[in-house]
Amino acid sequence: MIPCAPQQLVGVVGLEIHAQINSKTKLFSGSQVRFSDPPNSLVSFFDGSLPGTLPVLNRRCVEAAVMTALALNCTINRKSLFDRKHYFYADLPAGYQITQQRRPIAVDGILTYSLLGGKKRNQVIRKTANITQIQLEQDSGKSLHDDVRSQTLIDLNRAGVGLMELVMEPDMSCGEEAAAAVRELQLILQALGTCQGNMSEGQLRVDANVSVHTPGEPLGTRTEVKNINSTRYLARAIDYEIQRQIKVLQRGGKVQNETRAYDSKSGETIPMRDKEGLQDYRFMPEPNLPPLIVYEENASLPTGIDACQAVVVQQIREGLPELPGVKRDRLVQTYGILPEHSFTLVNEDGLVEYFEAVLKATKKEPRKVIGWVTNELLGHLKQQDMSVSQSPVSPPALAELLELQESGHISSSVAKQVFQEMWRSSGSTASKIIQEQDLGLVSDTAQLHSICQKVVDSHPDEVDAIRNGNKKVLNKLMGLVQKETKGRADPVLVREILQEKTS
Amino acid sequence: MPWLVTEKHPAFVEPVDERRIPGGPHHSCSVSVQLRTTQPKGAFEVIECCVLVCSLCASPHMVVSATGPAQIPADLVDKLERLALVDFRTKQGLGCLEKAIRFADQLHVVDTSGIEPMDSVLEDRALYLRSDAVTEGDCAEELLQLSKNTVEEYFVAPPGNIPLPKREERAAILKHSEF
Repeated sequence: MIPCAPQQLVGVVGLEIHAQINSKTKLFSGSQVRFSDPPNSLVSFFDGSLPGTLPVLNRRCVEAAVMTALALNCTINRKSLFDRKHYFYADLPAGYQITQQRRPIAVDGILTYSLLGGKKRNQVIRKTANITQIQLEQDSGKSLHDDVRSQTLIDLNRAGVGLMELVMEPDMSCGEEAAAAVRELQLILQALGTCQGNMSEGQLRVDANVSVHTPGEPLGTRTEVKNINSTRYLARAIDYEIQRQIKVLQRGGKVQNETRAYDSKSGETIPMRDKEGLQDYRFMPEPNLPPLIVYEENASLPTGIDACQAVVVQQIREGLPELPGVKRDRLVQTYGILPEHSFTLVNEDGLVEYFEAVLKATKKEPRKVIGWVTNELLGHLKQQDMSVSQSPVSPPALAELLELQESGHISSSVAKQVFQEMWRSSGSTASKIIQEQDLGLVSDTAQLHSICQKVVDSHPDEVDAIRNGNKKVLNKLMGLVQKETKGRADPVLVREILQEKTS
Repeated sequence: MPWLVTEKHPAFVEPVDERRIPGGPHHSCSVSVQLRTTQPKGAFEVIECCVLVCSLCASPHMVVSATGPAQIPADLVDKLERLALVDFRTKQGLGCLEKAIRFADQLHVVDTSGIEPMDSVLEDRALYLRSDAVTEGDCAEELLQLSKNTVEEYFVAPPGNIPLPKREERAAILKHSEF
């Protein structure tokens, strides 16, 4: 066994994503979709797989799948079919899951996402990942393992909830790309309202198929990595797995085709309980459901059909909300901000709204405001792991601070100080803090003159240097004046006065 | 040669085995034909079916080739037993399986080229779409009553799928049973 040269091996990553459909009721039954309810209280006879029950498709789930497919540039299959996928597990009472294996509702899409790259991580790099298909399927119930009493407790509240499974091509090569792609997908699904996209609550579940190979050669054996509940863990799990596989091959070993779970504590992937070898799912057509037909436009509807019995793609297309990519471009156009700023704005929940609220309350240019929002505000939020909605500084409060700076009441450096103070003592306004701590810009010319004179008098050498042509030394004198005034001197005035005195 | 072969199975290449075919409805034409299976020795054999059309009377005669007892590998039998949860490893059981497969192979005789398979008798019906309103659920008590074992409104199940014992272990378990 010749171990592989480490530089040649690269990672290949394909994602399988299950998105819980944001609907009131389940995919095939009229029981409610809700979380944290008492166990088994949101379960109908069909969900419990009692004999004599039949599946009845929820229209909202079909619409959600079509909307998502359109947003991801998929081809909608006019006719799609339902199948049964059989396997035994206590949280799957029927012994099979209704899914769409043969002909899913949509195929061949593209997810466009961006990374912040480049040396300073401020270049927006666009990437794409191909989507093989989108299919509708049922979720299973929840198992709570009680190892002490050697039993499993089953709650079927989640059994039958609608899922959209998105299968993606192995187009990515590392954890960062996968995390960025999933982040973009989250934003899209949230904008559409078809899925709330919260990974930690299981609304968006991502499994990664990871393998390594030498570029140009056939793909290596892949492993499936599960149990990932945030985009950060997704990146770490994938990168760990790629490294692990490379090391295995370097040692001359072989990568096993297995399922591994990500352990966030150790940052490693560990093999999951063996699934008894390759599963045989015995796919068969779902005999209780005729094919699902969606119509392209109103004109193609058969005569006499009830409107509520027809899903029309054109109508859904026209009703699509603004997608994140379009939003980013619009922000750049409207406000003249840089693409990377727009990227940061859209990426953070509520930040666009915050930014626009600040703009409403200040005359300052958007380009001058954006820095405050993406650096000062966001920086402080990230430091304390807070969301925009938890910010102690509200948009009007920030706007007031910016107005005071713009109108010359305080210098930029003082403004930053004031912001810190506002953050610490939430509720306190900028003007109050400035007054209390006497941080206002000193523009009193008489006072400035005397301070400048003092500095000039005590630094004859520097004054000589300036008079002899070395203008840069003036900055040193300015610095000394600022020190005297604790940074509150109006720099423009100070420079004028000093220049006058040293000429 | 007084017969034409209509190829029904794409793997069918040339007749190799000798078989006597009973006569057609209008006259007795007995034909000798050799049939060959294309599966490797020891693998599970797909029975080749073909329809011979007698060139004299143009009536079809179905032929099923049997080149020997089906040799179903032990691993496949094991897998089938796991999926079906039925032990059928006896001579009788395997014979029954073999007959069943041969019986099902008659499907190959039918010409289905250019025809979409039907997987539901509902294929011409419109799929009913339900509106997204809550109409059921909230019957935990009723459902839990159906289960012998419950704990605080949860159904109780064993810790995981109880794996079937390995082949050797099962043989030992069954040794003294009536099978």
